[in-house]
Amino acid sequence: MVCRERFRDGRRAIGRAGLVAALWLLASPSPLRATGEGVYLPLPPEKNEVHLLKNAAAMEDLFVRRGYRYEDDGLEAMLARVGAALAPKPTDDYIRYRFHVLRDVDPNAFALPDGQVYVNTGILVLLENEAQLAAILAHEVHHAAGHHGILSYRSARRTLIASMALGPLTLGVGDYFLIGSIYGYSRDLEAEADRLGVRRLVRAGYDPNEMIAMLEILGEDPEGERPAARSTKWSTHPELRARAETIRDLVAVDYPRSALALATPFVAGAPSDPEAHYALAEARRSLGARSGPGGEEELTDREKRRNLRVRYYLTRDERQERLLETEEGKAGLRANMQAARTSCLRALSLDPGLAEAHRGPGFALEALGRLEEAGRQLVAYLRARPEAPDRPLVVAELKEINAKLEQGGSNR
Amino acid sequence: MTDQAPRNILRNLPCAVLIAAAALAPAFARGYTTPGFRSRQARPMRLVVLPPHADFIKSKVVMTDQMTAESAALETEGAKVLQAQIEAKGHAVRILTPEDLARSAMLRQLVTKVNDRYGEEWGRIVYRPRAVKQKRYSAGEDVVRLCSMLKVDGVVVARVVAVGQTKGKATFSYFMGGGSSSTHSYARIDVGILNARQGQVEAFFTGYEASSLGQLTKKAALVMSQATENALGRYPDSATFEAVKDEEVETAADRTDGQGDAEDEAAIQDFEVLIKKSGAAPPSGR
Repeated sequence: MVCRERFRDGRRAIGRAGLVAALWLLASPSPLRATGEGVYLPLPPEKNEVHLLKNAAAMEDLFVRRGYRYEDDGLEAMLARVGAALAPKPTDDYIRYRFHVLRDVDPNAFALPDGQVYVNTGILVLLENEAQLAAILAHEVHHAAGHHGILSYRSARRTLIASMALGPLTLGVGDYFLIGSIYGYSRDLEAEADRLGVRRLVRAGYDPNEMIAMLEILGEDPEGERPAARSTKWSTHPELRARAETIRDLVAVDYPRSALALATPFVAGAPSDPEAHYALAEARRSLGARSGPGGEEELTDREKRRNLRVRYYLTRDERQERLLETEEGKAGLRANMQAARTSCLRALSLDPGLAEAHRGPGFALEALGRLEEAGRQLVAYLRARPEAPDRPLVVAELKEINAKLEQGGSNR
Repeated sequence: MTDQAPRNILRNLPCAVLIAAAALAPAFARGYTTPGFRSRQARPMRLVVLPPHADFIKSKVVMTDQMTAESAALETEGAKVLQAQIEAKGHAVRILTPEDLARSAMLRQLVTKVNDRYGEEWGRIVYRPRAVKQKRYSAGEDVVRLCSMLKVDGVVVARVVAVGQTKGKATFSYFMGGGSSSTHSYARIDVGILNARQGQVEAFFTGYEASSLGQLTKKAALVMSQATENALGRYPDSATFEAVKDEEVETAADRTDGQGDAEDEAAIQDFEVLIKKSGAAPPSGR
């Protein structure tokens, strides 16, 4: 019993000391805590922060190694030009500004504390002009210039030590330093980057209103579950290529509504471009039995969470099968496949050599049960592209069609 | 003394469970395969190992760090070990190195897409691995394109999760846990085998290796070798096959059909014959 009382007294003493320590740490002045004021003077890293900078440097290598970097000389040159006009003079040895594009459909951009600035293709294709790109870069360079990453790390570290003193609440929080850099800092630091970014934008000769326009674009949500794509009028060559590829990437990651929202104005802006029509067809086809953007009532947050859970647990095929159990789903599939076929035919009329435009309708018509037409399209594709890397897949589909035709499933 | 004994047992129980888990790690290694994989009909014999993705978490008292550079070492060693161990089972295996990727933008793009798509599916596989047997999971069309480009029958994709607990965290956890600690360092590898026909996950193996922070940072090769050995313990060698039920064999056999240009041409000709029979005009494009 005596031991237990002593132990209890000891715990009380530790608790009191912890409370004092926590209050001291929480009341400590800026820049110990990141309260919305970046440090624009030299800020040498503390001993425990050196490895964090090393990690930031290693990220550059990681992105290259995993093939996430989007390589387009024109686009990188433009980013470097706009970025150089906006970036302040580095205050520390470890800051060196460089601007890169990442192949990621997430509409995001981020800066690492050593001056690496990344812009995702998912945000690039949404932009309407260079000034909006400048607005993003101006915002991001201020995160690096103001040492927001290091300040956030210090703030988090002290808060965690304080909470540790109060109780065992310090479970893993991930690499706060880099997570903060990529997914956003505190509201104050974000506001500071916006405020100073606008000033820098004006100084570089860009329209500051484009910062607001850019934020509005990012507010769009065609998928109904995450921020995604919208129209773009920015039609320089590298951006066009990035746009077509991003539509394909959106299809690949199963965000067809976003792909469609991006492809529709793409076609409207370039009606004689077969690639645009083909991209629209692929977006339509990938929708499957789903409705298009704006085809459903606005979902509540609860419904969005439920949809995300379904997306997480069920495979793509299972979700499609579930939709096809309803009449709406069946009608949706018919409408989307028909629209995909129409767009492919339009692409073929503009460029008869675009073999891929035979492949899409082949799969679409098979889904509609029009086996002979489907088979013809697939044969045309196989003949036109004997070296196609997806040949085994198309042949397998053709064999399935043959089997169904043999069983008397012809439906011309 | 007597009334403290049961409490001590309870306190030390998690510790005992962990020690037992570490000792029995190979026994926990699980393999989930399709009937076609087991019967060898849909088992890829020529494989390519994509650069594995590793996450190395250094778990400290105050902050948890992602160790990016150390992850790279686990990825490099993981690929080598996978190649060596699958080759030892009699399969032809090549590694796709960063140098290979640097040479071709198209290859890089395909590898990224396959890895991303597999990453999406991986979450579901880990949640319900038994469904691999029902061919529930697929990494999509890009696997077919990648295999066609590299002239292989299948792809080996791996995910590595390594957690290294610092001594500080272990000590802290020991005290907070009242004399027992649930923190331990380990490496876990999940290996997926994708077929070249439809990109389906034909097999999924998972292995666990209890380790230490020092080993994880300084002996990546050793740790990866042991974790992979635990994972691939049930990977059949090239000569081994298992008799599976008729209906399962039938489905599995579908996946191996249509290899080579001659068979492709046969499929096209079959279609043309069927069209002629139905009285319609043959497809154009010849």
